[in-house]
Amino acid sequence: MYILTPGGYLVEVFYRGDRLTVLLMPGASVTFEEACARVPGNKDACPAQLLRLLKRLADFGTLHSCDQFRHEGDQIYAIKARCGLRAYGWFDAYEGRTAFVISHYILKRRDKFASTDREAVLANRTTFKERP
Amino acid sequence: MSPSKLHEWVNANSKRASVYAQESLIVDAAEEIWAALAEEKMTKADLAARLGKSKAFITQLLNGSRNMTLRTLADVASALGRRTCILLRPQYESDAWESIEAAFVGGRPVVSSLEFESSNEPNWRDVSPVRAKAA
Repeated sequence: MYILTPGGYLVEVFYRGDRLTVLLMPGASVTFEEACARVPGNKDACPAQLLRLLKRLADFGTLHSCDQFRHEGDQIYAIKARCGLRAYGWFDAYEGRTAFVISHYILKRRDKFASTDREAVLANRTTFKERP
Repeated sequence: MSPSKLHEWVNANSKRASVYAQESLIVDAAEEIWAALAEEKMTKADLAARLGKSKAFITQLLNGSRNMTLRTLADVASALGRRTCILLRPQYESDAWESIEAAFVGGRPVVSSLEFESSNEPNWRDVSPVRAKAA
């Protein structure tokens, strides 16, 4: 499901939970497909784990796992599956609800938050907040 | 209403739905353990010490890279001062309990517990957490 914002770009609803809505910035779905294509072994297991973590975040409002839900600074959060597939995003408000907005997905083994990822999230957050 | 992106992905084929169900159970069990660790103010190292295992073993259990047997789950629960409760529910109401938990009691601290009898089994006691009122 896509929502056309007054700013003219498409925000995709990933899942609407009891506590918050998980949204995808434009292009996030493409990065998910690209990252999943590089997942070693069972192509579905690791993405399924990440998507379940996102669903729980939406239903409960938070995740308890310190290993899989990390604050990377600047109010940017990473949600990580065991293979290194991760979603970067931030908490925001959207249509009267709390939202977790996913900037992009990436597959990488190391936890260190790359400057390129930080810049991508910050740019997406600016775009999201500047919507009319 | 059109299906969410999550449901589109999960229901793309039956194999994927099956894998998602497996991973969901692993994630849900791990989150329960993480929540118990937080409530008990314990670390993974503390839990590993109580079980006589390495911290890496606990990490692998919690991230799903090592299969958790029912025996191991029972041991983990016991080490956390808890017992394990398994319920099999129809798929169509699979998330109902989560909704109730999230809407009414989730996230609030446990301030007490209520013990009650719900079975004729001797020594069987159910204990329900009593959580703080919502603000």
